[in-house]
Amino acid sequence: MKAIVALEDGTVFEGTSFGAEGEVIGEVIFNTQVVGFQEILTDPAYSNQLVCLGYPHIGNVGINDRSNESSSTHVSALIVKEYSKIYSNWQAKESFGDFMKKNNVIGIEGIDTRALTVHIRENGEMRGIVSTKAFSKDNLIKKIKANQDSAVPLLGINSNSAKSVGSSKTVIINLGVNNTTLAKYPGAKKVPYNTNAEKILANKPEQVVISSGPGDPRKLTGLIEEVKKLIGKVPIYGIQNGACILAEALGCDVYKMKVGHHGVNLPVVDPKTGRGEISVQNHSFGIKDVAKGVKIVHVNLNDKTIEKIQSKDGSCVGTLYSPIDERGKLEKNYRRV
Amino acid sequence: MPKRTDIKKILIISSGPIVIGQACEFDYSGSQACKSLREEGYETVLVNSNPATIMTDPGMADRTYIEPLEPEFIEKIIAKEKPDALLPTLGGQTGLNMGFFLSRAGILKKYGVELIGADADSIQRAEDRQKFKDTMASIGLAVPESGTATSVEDGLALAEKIGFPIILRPAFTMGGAGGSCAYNIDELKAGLELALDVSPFHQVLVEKSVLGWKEVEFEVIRDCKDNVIIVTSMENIDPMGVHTGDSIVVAPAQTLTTEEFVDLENWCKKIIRAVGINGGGTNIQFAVNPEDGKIVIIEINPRVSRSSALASKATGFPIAHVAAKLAVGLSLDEIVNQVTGKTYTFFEPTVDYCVFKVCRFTFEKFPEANPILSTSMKAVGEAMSIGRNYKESLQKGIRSLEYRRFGLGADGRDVPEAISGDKELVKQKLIYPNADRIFWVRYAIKIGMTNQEIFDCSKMDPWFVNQMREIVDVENEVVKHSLADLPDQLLLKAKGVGFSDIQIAHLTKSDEVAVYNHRKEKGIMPVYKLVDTCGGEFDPMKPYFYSTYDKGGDECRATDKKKVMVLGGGPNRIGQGIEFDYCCCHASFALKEEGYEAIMVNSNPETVSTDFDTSDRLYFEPLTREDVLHIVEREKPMGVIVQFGGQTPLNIAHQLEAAGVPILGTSVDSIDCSEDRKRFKTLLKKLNLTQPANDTATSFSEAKKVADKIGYPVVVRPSYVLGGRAMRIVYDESDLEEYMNKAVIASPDKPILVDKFLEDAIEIDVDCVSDGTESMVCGIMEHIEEAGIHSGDSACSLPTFSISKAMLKELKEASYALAKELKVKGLMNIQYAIKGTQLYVLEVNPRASRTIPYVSKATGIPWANIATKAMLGKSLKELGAKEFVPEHFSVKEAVFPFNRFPGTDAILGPEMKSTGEVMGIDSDFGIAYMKAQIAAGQKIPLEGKVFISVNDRDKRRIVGIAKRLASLGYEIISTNGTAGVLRKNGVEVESVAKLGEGRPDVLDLIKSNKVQLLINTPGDKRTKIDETKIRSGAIIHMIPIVTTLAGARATMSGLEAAKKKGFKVKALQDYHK
Repeated sequence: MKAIVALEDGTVFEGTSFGAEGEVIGEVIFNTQVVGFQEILTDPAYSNQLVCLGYPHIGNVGINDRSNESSSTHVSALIVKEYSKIYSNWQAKESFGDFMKKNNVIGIEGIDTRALTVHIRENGEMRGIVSTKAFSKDNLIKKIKANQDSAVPLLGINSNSAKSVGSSKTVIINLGVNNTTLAKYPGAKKVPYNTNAEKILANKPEQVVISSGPGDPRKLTGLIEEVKKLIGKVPIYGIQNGACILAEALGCDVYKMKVGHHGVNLPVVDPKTGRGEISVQNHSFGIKDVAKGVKIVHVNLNDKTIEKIQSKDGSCVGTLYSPIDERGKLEKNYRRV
Repeated sequence: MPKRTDIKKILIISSGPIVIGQACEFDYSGSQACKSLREEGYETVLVNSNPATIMTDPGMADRTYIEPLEPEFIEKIIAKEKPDALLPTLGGQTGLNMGFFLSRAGILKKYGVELIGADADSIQRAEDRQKFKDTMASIGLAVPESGTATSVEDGLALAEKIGFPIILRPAFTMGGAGGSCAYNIDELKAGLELALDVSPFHQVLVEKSVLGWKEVEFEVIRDCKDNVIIVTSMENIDPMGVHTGDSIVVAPAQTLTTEEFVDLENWCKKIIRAVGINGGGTNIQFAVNPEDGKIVIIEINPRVSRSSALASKATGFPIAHVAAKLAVGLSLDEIVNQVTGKTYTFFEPTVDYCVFKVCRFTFEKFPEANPILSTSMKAVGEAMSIGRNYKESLQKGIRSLEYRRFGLGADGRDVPEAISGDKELVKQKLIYPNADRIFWVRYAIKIGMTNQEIFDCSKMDPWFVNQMREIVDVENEVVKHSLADLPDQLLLKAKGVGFSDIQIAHLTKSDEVAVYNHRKEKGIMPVYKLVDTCGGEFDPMKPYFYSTYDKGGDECRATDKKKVMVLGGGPNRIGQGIEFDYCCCHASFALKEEGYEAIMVNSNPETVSTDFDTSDRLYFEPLTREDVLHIVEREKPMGVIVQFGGQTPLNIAHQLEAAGVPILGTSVDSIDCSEDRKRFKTLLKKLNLTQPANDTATSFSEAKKVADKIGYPVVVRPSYVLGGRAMRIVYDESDLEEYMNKAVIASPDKPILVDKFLEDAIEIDVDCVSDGTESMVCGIMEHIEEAGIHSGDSACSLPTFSISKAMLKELKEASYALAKELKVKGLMNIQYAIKGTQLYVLEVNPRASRTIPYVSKATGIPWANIATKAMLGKSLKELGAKEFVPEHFSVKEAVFPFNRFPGTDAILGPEMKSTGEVMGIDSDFGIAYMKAQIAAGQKIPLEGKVFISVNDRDKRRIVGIAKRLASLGYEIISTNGTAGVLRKNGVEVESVAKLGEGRPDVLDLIKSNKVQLLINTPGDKRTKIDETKIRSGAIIHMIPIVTTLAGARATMSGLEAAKKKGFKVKALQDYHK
């Protein structure tokens, strides 16, 4: 069945659909990784995004029980070059297409995803629409323009399969936490993004984690205010958008990047020593300037953007990448992608 | 970390001759290393015995030694050059072993040389089978159940515990040399003997087989700051059981889940840290059980390898260039990624395409060898292809191999019986890995086998099989149409999954040119996309290009500057290898010097020509008519150079010219004239030159008439062949009958050529260059072996050593006349034979020859560079070119792959069998010859026992040689016939039994290392079987063997000189001051 991707600047790509049918508007981003596609489908931080995958073959190994980042899908649509007609892996339970149909995620294949990637690289991330129903370019672009506000995502309402027993002394402020983060904090208590500081502190946490999540973190002004109240009272670790919230609370300047970081091959290094790690990232917002006293711990080696900050006393740490294990101590079941 | 300032001079040991398992990828890595280190201001000293390499060009390293890669010679170089450090990781297994050996032998310590890139302990942890196993155990990684054996008895005991099938892996070898898979005790015993012999440390790993598991490789790099990156993953289509060098490989891995992938990557990081590489890369091979994901480690290579060259070309990430810098203390975050120009090498490359590596085999040259693929590598070359999907890339890869297959079948060359429904035959072909297995997957699909059935036989992942099924599905659609009614959408789809015009022509009963023109009319043409290391994330400065049939999105960067296109040589094969790549690279360099843009087209990932910075733009494409024409149409070069890439570009030169492509240099018609027998005969007549009496025949009776007329022996061969394919010397009528009836199929348009064979003639090679008016001799080479041995297989010397001045003059005059008459513009090679005082012209090839790099090294003159400029219109005078005959001798020797094909005979003949070459250089001819022999692996002893057995024709003439040997103190052993003749002439001889005439026989002597040198010239059919056994026995036990009298004579001169003077080393820069 015919399907179409239209960008708000008028660029249109035609393909055919796999997965669910329908129409969806979102932010078009590209991702260059060669594995980890089930994770993209199910990571809440990808919600409201139309993800363009540069790597051509998608769905080769099907869907398995171990790769989910949450209990459902969050991405709005997958834009791919070639959807695999079969899947083959001993752990596979079903095909990408079936899984996406069940979870109402639109898939479009036959797209020159490299061309779309280059377009985004040159023109910046922008809003777009994927449709399997209507193909008039003008109408589609009108729809995008009429829907600017959907940039504010639904937050903190995602259910997550990982159990929250509460024995741990970690409280996670849930902006869309994924299983990778939950696996790092077994038994952490999750609280919604609009929980106030007093309530959080009432748990007597040893640390507070602000999870990754979708959307524009600058718009969560209420949360930023609450985090300000937490600073100095408890160690805080912010991940990706969570780091942006923390940065704002520390008085730093958060901005929308022209092209975000979405991939698994991004080098983050200590600017003084050049020592670092290859990291997994998914964020469209960055930290422009740090406030006085806030230290830049890691920068992106390639574009020199800030990737990790730390408050003067060391109690607040934010990373724009997924948490990384210490060198040489990679845990067996810790997913990197 | 800033680069080290405590070291200034670095010795790089390279890999020597091209052999199976070690090809031109190490020319690529060595050249990169030299460039990389010189960029950083280090002085480089390079040693390599292979003159055909770019790296041994005088400009690449500060000091260049073409000397044997033996400890004795390396020590001399170290003593002379006093380097601060030795970099052993860029020269393949040869370089690594040498570095390790020199370190362990205390030689490095003696001269204060530090091993950089990988220290001796790291090398040992990776290469020593037991240490490796222990290291892996220390990080908790499973290895297949195994044990290390140093004797056959050890090995048998281990096998009993482990159970069959058993894999044998000799320590410190490459390309799986000496390795095997044993299914029973007999195979195990034989395998153990071989493996222990081959391993330089007589150690073999006896390992439980994980046959049929997925085989996955990673390239990992770590710097001195402990930054680690994974360059890429690669997955073998042929699962465990086939050597990775013989497997079809796809990058990146396609059938792993994220968890499996990440687990393997995490293991990689642990492994490189545990082994202790802290300034270089390693290749890591895993096996993954397709049933339950269980992982075992197979092996690692702590050095730049064939796979890392492939990974470099597949991703654009220059591993060798980076590894050299890491070795001197730089870190990944300090080195700029030159392809993007704006990112750093601390970044994991990613791809948005599919890459295939496909292998080129040469079983037709070794008919006695078993054509089953196993754990000992047999491929002689490879091609790499890039497409935006698996199917496109696979089909491009197959047509890149130049087997005259133009995709996954459907090209008019399929085996008819394969799809006749004999499922058992198909199954057998799937079960036993062979060079054509990929086509049998298609046949299996055609006869209705399911993915599961095909997997059950071949263990190829069903995902791979289904991709091939999707190709067949498109084929089944296309075949329903004629070209005229082929829907555009379907044609686009077919091109999108990699169908060539030839396949489409076959399916639609049309022809290639018609399909191309039809497509062009319909606008169904490819776009070009980039290899940029980053999947489009950054706008790269220096990417390279591949074609694909995506919708728009064209990123071709053709300019309107003046430019010339160079067509490369495609995959290595016997007869066409690195020598032609050398010429193509020089063409590119010369073009740039003259202010032209150089556009390179090639499909061989091992080469320097496919390095991203050799040319202005590189197209990684098959060298077929359509693929080249597509590029020509986009780039519109002022000319295309077809004379440097060997036979590959010449095969399509006609078609290109017919399509209006301007060919630079010597015309296609001239090339034709030299190949067309009748025209050539007329030409020679006109020039008053002589060729051996000859004629053509299409049947035995015709051939008999010709042979009777010109007299036996005759040389017979099919027309239009390369490398002397199916060429034979025939001594009598019954041989001739057998050849005509069995060996070849002749037809009126492809007759058999019958030439008078010139017995005991001297063969001469002449390379010359011409600007269209004036011509010049680059070098005159005298073959050591007499005429009748393929020129690529015989040793030769420059300058000549036994040719009179008058004859040299005659040779030159004849060469000038030929160049003039053929209007040569560029290079030309001529083969002559001299019998008595008569000069015969054997063959003329108006193109770059295999010997050009050797002649350039011997004379110190860059002939390919001069030839390129001549093609561009410069006169030789303007270029200041001059003929030059050096005073020192440069002897070239060929290197053979017999050890890879057990059971084949090691005799030389008119069919070329060598894979590579080495050069010995010295002011004394004998020493130069000996150096070449040693470099070629013939460790000729300065004392000991010599076994001599020669055919009747040679018996009389062996006497002198035997006398000289005896006077040098060697003991002579012979079988009865030869012994009798020698005794009669006063030579003291010990007799030994012929095979089957009592024990101990000569084979026993060989096996028990009681003889140190063999001189054995081939007799007739009756003695052939025994001789084959003797000669292959000698090869397995690495005893030097001489199979011609001429070779024996040269060996004698060498031995005499070596005993008298000993060996000295001297840099090329000192020879050519």
